[in-house]
Amino acid sequence: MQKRLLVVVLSLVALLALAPAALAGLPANPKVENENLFEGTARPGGELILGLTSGSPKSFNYYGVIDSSAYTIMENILSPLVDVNPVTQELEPGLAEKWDFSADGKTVTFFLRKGVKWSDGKPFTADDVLFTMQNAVMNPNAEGNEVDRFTIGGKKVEWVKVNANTVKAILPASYGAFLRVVSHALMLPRHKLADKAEGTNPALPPGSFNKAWTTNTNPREIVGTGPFMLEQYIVDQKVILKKNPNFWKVDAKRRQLPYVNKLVYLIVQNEQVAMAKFQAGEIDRLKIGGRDYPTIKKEELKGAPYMVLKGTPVNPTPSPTHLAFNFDIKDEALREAFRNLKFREAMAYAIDRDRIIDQVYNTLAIPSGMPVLPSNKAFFNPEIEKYRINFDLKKAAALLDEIGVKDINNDGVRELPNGNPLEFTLTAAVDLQDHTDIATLLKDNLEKIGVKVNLQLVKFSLAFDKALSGEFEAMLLAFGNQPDPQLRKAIWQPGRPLYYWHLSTMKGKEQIPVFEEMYDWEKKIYEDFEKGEVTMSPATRKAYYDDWQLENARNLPVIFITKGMDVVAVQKSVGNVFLQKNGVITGLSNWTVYKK
Amino acid sequence: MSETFTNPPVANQPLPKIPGKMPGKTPGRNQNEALLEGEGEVALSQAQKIRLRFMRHKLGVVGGAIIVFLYVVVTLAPFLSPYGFEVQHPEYSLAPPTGIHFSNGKRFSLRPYTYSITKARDPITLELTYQVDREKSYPIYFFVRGEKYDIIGGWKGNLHLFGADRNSGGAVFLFGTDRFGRDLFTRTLIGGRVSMTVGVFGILLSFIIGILVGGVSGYYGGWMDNLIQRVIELLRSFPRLPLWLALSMVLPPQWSSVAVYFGVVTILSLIDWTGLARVIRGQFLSLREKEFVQAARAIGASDASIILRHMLPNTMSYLIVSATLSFPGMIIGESSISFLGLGIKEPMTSWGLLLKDAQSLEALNLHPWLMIPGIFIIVAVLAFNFVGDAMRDAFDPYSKM
Amino acid sequence: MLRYILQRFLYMIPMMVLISIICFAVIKLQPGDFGSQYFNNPRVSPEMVQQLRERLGLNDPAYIQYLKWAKGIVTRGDFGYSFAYKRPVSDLIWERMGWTVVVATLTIVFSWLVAIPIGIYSATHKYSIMDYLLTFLGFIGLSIPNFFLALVLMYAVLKAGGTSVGGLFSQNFIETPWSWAKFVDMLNHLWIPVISIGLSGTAGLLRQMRGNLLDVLGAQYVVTARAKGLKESIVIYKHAVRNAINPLISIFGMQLPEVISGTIISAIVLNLPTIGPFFYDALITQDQYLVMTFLMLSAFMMLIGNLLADIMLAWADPRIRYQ
Repeated sequence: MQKRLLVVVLSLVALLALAPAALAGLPANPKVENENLFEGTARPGGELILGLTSGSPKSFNYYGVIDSSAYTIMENILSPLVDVNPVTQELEPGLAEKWDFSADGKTVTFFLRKGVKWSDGKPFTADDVLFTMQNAVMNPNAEGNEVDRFTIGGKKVEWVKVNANTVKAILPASYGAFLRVVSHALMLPRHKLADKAEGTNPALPPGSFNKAWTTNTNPREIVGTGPFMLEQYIVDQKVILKKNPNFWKVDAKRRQLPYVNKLVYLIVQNEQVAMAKFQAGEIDRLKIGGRDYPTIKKEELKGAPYMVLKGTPVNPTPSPTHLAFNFDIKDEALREAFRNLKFREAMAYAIDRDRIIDQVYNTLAIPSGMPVLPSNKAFFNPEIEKYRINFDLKKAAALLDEIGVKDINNDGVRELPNGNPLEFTLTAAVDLQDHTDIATLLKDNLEKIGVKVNLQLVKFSLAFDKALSGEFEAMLLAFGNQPDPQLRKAIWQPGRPLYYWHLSTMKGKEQIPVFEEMYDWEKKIYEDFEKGEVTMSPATRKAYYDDWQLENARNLPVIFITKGMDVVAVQKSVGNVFLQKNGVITGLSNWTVYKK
Repeated sequence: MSETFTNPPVANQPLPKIPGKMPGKTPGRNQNEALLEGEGEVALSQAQKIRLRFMRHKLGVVGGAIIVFLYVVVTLAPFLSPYGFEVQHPEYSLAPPTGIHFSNGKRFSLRPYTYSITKARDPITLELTYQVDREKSYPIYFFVRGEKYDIIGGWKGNLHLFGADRNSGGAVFLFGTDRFGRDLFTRTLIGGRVSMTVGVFGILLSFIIGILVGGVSGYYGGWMDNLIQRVIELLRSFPRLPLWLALSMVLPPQWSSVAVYFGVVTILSLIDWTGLARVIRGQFLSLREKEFVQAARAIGASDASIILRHMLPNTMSYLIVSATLSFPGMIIGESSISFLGLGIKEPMTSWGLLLKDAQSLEALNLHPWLMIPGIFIIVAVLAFNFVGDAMRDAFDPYSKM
Repeated sequence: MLRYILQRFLYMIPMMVLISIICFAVIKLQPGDFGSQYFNNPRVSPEMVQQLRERLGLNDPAYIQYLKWAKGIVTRGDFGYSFAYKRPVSDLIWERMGWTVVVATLTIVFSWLVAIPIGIYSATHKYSIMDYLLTFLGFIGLSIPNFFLALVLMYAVLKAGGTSVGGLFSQNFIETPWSWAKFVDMLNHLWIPVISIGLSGTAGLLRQMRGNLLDVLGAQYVVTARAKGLKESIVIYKHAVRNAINPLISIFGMQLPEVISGTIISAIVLNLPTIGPFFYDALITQDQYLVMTFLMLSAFMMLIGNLLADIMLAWADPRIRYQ
C-alpha cells in the first residue's frame, strides 16, 4: 500500500517537474510564421471543427497508404524540413532552419532547427531525418513512397548524417526541383517506428512498414512535430486532434502556435450532409462547390453567423479539365484528323468557356490554357494568353472546311475525306458532375458545326483505365497535379506513361521514349523537361517550362478548358480566414486560425 | 357469415370517400352492387365478377386511369412536348416554370400566352434570377413545327402539340428548365418512357420463372424441393450491387445507356425470380396439405391440374400484389441506380436521372421545380399500387360484399 | 427436426464455397483493379502502381488469388487483409457492426411494429375511412425513393431551425460517454434514417399483411370457427392472424441479410457510420478481400435467414413437415 502511495507521489513530482518543460516546448529559435497569414488579434483556445469530405482515414501512416483523408489528417501532425507558404507557394525554412547547396549543386546540407521536440517530448534529430528518408520516403515497399522523386537519372539521392543537427543529401546529378520534393517529405519519429520498419528491423518482411500506424493504433504512439497530435479516432465518425505543446512555430508576437486547443474532423463523405452540418453550425470551415455559393451567400446577407469566400485557385489538383483526342486511334481517317493541328484548333474554337463557367460553375471558375495556374507565379507563363482560342463557331466551321471535312451529303454531319461521317465518342467521368456537364455542353456546341459526338459517361476510375490503355477516341479528364511541372512529368512529358493522348511515343513496359513517333514540338517538350530536371537556377528552369507551355498552347496536344475557383464557407466565429489582396483565400492553415 | 362483427354490410351504406381522391359517382354502381350481392337474375361469369369488383375500388380505378394516361403520354411524348429533349437554351438556364396566362388584367385573350423572361445574375449572391416582363407577351400556338422526332412505330414528324412561336423569341417551359436550359417538361415526358418501360420485360421474365420453379418446388417437395432451394440460395447469393457495377462496365461501350440499362435489368431478372419463388413455394408447401388439394388428389386429378386449377388461384392474390409491387420497385430501383451514376446517362434521361439533379440542398432551396420528376415517380408508383390493391380485392375468391 | 437442421447446416459448407466462387468471379468481372485508382494521384508514379500490383498479388491469375485467400480462411481462419486499410478485414467489419446492427434492427422492428397492427386493423375494417387513409399513407410511403425522402427530411429539419442533420449524433456527443442527453440527441438524429429507410418496407409489409389476412378471413376454416360461435377476437388473433403471418415469415428470413447489406444508398445520403457506405467504397476501389468477406457474411446471413424462416414456418403451421 505504501509502495503504491510512493509511486503516486513520485509520479506527481515527476509530472510537476515535466510541466514547465512542456510549457517551454518551444525551441530556442522558433519559426516566426509569415505575417501574411494573420489578420486580427488572435485569441487562443477553443476548438476548430472541420468536415472530412474524403471519407474515413484508411491509416495514419503518411507513407504507408495512398489516401487523401490520411494526408489531410497527418499534415496536421507531421511537418517537413522545408515549408511551403500556403499563400504564395514559396519555399520557406521548416524543420530545417537553413540549407546550403554545394557549387555543383550536387550536395545539399540541411541545418536542423535546434531544440525541436516531438509531441511526446523526445528531441528531433538528424537520425529521424535519415530514418524517414531511408525507411519511408525512399522505401520502394512503402505504398505511399516518393522514391521516384528522389531518383535522378535512375540513381537515388543519398542521405548522410553530419552531426545530430545536420544532414547532407548527396544527389547523383543536380536537380532543380529538389527543395520542392523535400518539402513534400514529412518527418517521422524514429523512436516510435524503428521496430516497425523493415529497414531498421531486419526480422520483418518487406512491406511491413505499411502496417505501422494503422487506424487502430493507440493515439499516443502517433507522434509528430506538426501543430497537432492525435487524441482519438472514432471509426467513421470523427478524428480528434489536440494542440501539440512542442510545436515550433510562433506568431509575430512570439506566441506559440496553434491557437486552438483542439482540431476536430467530422467524417462527412456526403457533400449535402456536410453543407447541412455547416449550416447547422456543426462545421466551422468547409470547402464547397461553386453551385452552393448562392445558398450560403444569401444566408450570409440575411445575417447568418457564417460567410463565404471565393478565391483564385491555388491548388494544382485537380489540373484544369482538358479535352484530349487519341493520336493513336485505329480508325485511319479519324487518326488523320485528330493529328491535324487545324482539327484540334477547330475543336478549341467550339468550346464555349464562358458558358461552361457560367452554367457549370456558377461563374466561379477561370478559363485555363495550361496545367500551370496563373497564381503559380514561379512557373506560369503569361505569354500563353496570346494563344488562347476563344469560342467562335464560325471559325471552327471554317477550319474544318479547310481540312476537307465537309458535310457532303447534307445530313447535318460532316464527312471525313474518306466519306465516313465525322463522329466520335467522348468519354467523361459520370461521378464528377462538372465533367459530365462540360461533356454535355461540348456535345451541344460541336453538333452545331456538324460534328457528331456520342457521350460515354463512366466511373472516373474506368475513364482513367481507358485513357491509360489508349481505349478511347476523345476524353475529358483532369489529373492530380503539382505546382512544379517536373513532379508531374509523367503526364506532361511525351514518352511517359500518363501522356495518354499519344501513347505511341512510349515503348511498352520499359517506358522508353520513342522519338520517331514524336512530332518536332513534342521532341522539344521532351527536351524542355529533360533540361528542366537537372537545371538548378530557378530562372533557367522557368525558361524551359515557359517554352513547354508555349509549345502546348501552339500545338494543343490537349485542350485545357477551365479550373474551378476555391470557394470556402466559414463560420464568422473563426478568425484569420480572409481573402488576400491577390485574391487567394488564407486561413486553410489550421495552425493560424483561431476561435473568436 | 358476413363481416357484420366489425362492419355493417357494405351494400347498406354508401362507400367511404376520401376527400378529393375519389372520383364522382360511377354510373350504375347500385346495379353492380346488387349483382355482386347475387340479387340480380343474371348469373355472372368469373371475369365479369372480377371486373365489377375491381370497379368498386375507386382508388384502383383512378390508379388504372393514371397508368393508362401516363403510358399514352410517354408514348406520344415527342409530339406532346414543345421541344426536343436535347435542345439547350443557354439564355434560359435554370428558368422557373413559365406561367400560362389568358389575361394581364386589362386585356383578355382566348389564346394563352407567356410573358417574356430575362435572365440576370445577382452580382453578389451569384444567384440566377429571371425578370418577368409583363409588357411583352408571346402567344402559345397549337400544332407548331419544331424538332424532328420519331415515335416508336415509325411515326415521323416535326409537329408539336403546342409551343411558342420560335421566331418571335418566346419560350414556354411548363416545368421550368435545367442547368443547360433544357425544357424540363419535355425531359420529364421523355424520361418517363425509360422509367416506365425499361423494367417491364425483366419483371415478366422473373415472374414466369419464379412461379414455375417455386410451384414445382413447393408441390413436389422432397429432394426436388431441396435441390431447388439450394439453387435459389446460390442465385440469391449473387451480389446485386457488385454485379450491377460490373455489368454496367462490361456491356459494350458502344451501346446507348438505355440499352446497357435494359441489358443489366434483363440479366439481373434471370437471377431475381428467387424471392417470388420462395414465397410461392412456402404457400404451396402449406396448400398441398390442405383438404381441398388432398381431395383433388384423391379423385385422381393430374399434378398440372392441381397446380393450375387449385393451388395457383389460391396464391393469386399474393402474385397480383407482388406483381404490382414490382412495378414501383422497378421505377424506384431505376432512380436508385441512377443516383449511384450507374443507370441512365446523359444525354438520354429518365425520372431517376432527373431526380438526381434535384438531390441537393441547393436544388431544394433555389430550384424547387427540379423536383417535379420526383412527383411523377410518386404518382406513377402510387397508381400501380392502387391498381394492385384493387386487383387483389377483385381476384379474391372469397370476397363477398 | 433436429436432424433436419443439422442437415441444413452441413449443406451450408458446399454452398458457401460455391457462393464464394461466384462472388469472386463477379468482383473480377469489373475491369481494372485496386491499383487503377492510383494513377491519377499526384504522389504516385506509374511504376509504383505496377509494384503495388505485384506486391498485392494482383498480377496473379484470378484463380490463384482466390485460392490463396481461401487457403488463409481454411488454414488460419484469416479472411485476408484490406489493401486500403492494411488491417485484417474481419477487424474492420467488426468495428462497424455495432451501429449497423442497431440501425437495421430498429428499422426492422419499426416496420413490423407499425405494419402488423395497422395491417390487421385495415383488413378487419375493410373499406372504412381509416382503411382508406392508412392504405393511402402506406402507398405514399412506398412511392417516395428513400434516399430522396432522407434529403427532404434533412432539408426540412434545417429549414425549421433544427441542427440534428446527418449521422447519428451531434458532433459534440460523438465521443462522450453515454448519458441521457446523448441518448436524446441520438433519438433526435435516428428518426430520419429509421423513417426514410423503414417507410417503404413498412408499407410493403402492411399491404402484404392486409392482403393475407383478408384471404384468410374468407377461408373456410375461419368461417367454420365463427359458425362454432368462437369469440371474434379469438377467431381473428388465434386462427386468422396466425395463418396470415405465414407468408410474411419468409419475408422476415429475407430481411435478415438486409441487416448488414441493405440500404446502402440511404446510409450514404445520411452519412451513417454503418457498413453500407464502407462496403460501397471498398467495392468502388476494388479492395477485393474486404468486399469478399463482406459478401460472404451477407451470404451466410441469408442462409441462416432462410433456415430460420423454414423453422419458423414449421412452427407456425404444424402441418408443414420436413422429413
